[in-house]
Amino acid sequence: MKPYISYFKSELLVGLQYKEAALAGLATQFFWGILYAFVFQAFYNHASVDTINFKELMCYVWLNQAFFSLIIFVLRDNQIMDQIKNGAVAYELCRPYDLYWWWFLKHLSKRYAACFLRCLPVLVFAFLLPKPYNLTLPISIEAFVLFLIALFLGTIIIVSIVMIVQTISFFTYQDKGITSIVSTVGALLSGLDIPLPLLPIIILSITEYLPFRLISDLSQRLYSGNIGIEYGLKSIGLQIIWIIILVAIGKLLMKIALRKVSIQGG
Amino acid sequence: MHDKGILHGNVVFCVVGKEDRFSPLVFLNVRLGGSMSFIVVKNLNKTFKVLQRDSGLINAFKSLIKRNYKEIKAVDDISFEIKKGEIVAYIGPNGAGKSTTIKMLTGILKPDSGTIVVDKLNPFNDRVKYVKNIGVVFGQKSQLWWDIPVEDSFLLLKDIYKIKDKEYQKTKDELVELLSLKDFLKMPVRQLSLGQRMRCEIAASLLHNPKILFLDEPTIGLDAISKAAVRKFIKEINKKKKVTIILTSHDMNDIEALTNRVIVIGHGKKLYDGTLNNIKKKFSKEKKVEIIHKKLESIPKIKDVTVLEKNNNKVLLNVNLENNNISNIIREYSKVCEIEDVNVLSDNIDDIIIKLYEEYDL
Amino acid sequence: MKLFLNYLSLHLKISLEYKSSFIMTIISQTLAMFVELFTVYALFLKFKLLDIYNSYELLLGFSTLWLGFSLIELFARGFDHFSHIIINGNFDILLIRPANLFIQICGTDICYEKIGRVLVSLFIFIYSSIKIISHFTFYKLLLLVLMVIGCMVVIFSIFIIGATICFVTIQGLEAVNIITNGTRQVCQYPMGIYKKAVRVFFTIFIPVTLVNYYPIDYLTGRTDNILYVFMPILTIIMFFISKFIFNFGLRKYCSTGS
Repeated sequence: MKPYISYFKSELLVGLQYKEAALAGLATQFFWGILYAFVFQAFYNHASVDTINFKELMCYVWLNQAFFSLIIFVLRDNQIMDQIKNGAVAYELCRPYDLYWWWFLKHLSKRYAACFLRCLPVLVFAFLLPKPYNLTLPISIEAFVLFLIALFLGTIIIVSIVMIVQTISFFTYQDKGITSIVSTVGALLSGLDIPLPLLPIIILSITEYLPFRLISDLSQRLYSGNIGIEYGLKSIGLQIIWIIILVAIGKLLMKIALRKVSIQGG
Repeated sequence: MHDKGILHGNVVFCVVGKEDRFSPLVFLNVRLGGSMSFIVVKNLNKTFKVLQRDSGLINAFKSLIKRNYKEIKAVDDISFEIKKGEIVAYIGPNGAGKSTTIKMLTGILKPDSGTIVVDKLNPFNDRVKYVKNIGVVFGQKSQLWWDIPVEDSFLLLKDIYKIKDKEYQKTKDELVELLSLKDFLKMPVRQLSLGQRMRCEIAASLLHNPKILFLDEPTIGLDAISKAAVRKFIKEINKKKKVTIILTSHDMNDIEALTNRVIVIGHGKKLYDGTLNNIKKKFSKEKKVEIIHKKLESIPKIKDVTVLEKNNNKVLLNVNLENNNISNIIREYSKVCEIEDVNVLSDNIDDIIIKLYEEYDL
Repeated sequence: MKLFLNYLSLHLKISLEYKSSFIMTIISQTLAMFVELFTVYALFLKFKLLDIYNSYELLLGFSTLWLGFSLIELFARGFDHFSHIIINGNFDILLIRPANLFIQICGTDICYEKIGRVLVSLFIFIYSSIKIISHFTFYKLLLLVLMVIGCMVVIFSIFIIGATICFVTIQGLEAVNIITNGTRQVCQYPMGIYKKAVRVFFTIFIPVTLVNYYPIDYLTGRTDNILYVFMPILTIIMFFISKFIFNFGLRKYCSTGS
């Protein structure tokens, strides 16, 4: 466990080194939150929808912004992808640990390090905003606990999806295309573009059968009480099942990829 | 005729050098600088604000809130003059202010105070007009395009500098010949070796026939053969095209091979401006002399000479040149033995520069 | 101009060197645009706004903005990526050359990957304008052209201002993204859904309404005020302001050298 902790720490340090970057990142999150608030308010001024009210929607928007780096598909400066492209992956293959989990935890710690720096200011900022644009307190303590669990499991799901995409680029030696297609579609289906309850019913029923909505949509809706505890518990069960499936696929692909690499001689 | 002109300029320059720095005569001469010296730099200053940062998580958090700036004098009252057609090496340890000076000479950076006049132009104020006259090679940056053939990059530069077709063709042929680029002109840059690439970089910066060429570490990362080749080309270009060359390098062999005039700077100040030989004389007061002999009976006692090694046909001596000279030693030894051969081993140029830097506490 | 054409051909050569990656990127870029269009549509559907807004007007406003954006991203990507040029020191190389700085900056990156977006948004633009305009007149055609050019001017100006930020702080990239993507996000919806303050902002400070909102009234025939035709020309003011700011930043950069 120690290497991961020190990796986490150095990521945190790197993040702190660049004051402008940290501030710019925060400003980005504030700005996008406000921007979404304005856009959605414009719509809510014309009509309301039965799937989500404005107060719940604002919680959804601000939580998305606060935990942005946890739940987004592509984090900038992806070292691992660079390693695959420039061949430095050969070093990683010589290390005495399971490559899948090493990379998995690397991804995870990178995300949490980035989030650690951003989430608190964004949350505070969102709480202090005037009504109705503000982030309200969670609907109940149970909902909050479930929110935390669902969010954590959600980050596991997104990382396991990223691992699969990354392993596929092992085969193709180019990541730009696949990654951006997956992240475009994934962002839509996980509620990062616009909250899922605002999408047409047909799309919503499709998302039921996919893992994407379990990344952040579930947790954000639990927080505001847009979905009940019971449904939440069921979905958390579903999250665990999806994690098992996605990790299994990822590990299998990795095994095949590594075999291919060793046949090619790196 | 031409040489005479330069000589004349040189004489005037010497007189000016002895004048008081602030006398009106000097200013007059600076204003007219172009007529004698091609490049005139006078009392140049540049200060930067640099962020102070301490290591550790807590300090990193602290620096988020409050940052400490420190003012650094990158260039501190530097003056020098360079004549047309000269090759001058501009040296100093990392962070001495070399590249800041180069940036100001190339018109990228505005000086805080002081004047630069190059060929009657002020590099910063007349930037666009000025840069037509200069070529720059940054050893660590490329101006060629990675994915396309070298020739395409050249054609782009032709458009950038608005070079006429005829002139372009002539200069290109000349450079291709001079730098032997013919074989890889059609190859994309990524397939070239570092040495080939550097030759192309030099050619690229000479396409518009500049009067001055700035070479910023032109041999960095090259192997010995490529280094020698690049040096040869630089010398030839200087000779054939009469290009004034200002060179920075950490490789003292570059400097020894290319130029006799060196300007040394450290902590932003000019420390030395003169010939390389003078530095050598100043900093290598001792030489090692190896005498290969037959039938040496006894070693003669000479003042300030110590014997380092001795075996049956060879002695190695360390000679302090302040009180002795080599011929004296040879004379003394020829009295007592039959000398077959004498080798004078001078200090490595790198060692000399290290001594120089040490003396100035760099 | 000849120099710019040279840049265009060089970048085309480079793009074609990496064909499969090039094609994949075109596809994914175009897909991303469709996703945006889809979300706009989805929101209008959900909030039953299609009864109030003509869906072709929605499409025309959307496609004008995206056409302008993709064209500028194609030709002037260098300004968008200005922080890279500053960080890796290539800006110094541009400065030691006598050619026009703006053309050189544009020339550092011609992003042919945007060609898919250009073509698709051009198609939507033409299709929706045919549907909207009952009978074509010279002025309506002129207005269509001016709308696209005006939109390009606005977005180019935003890029220039974004690049200027990079002179001050190298971490300007995110700030630039806020402005560019934020503008796109807000203005891809018909401005009529917003409050007046928002419309005023996007008329005075970032004059997008002048190219993709007000002129549509003339095209549909809701107004026949001829001044509407020349409205997009006003965007040139923003261009001059941004150019002024850029030159100011350039002077500052040259005296700090950071």
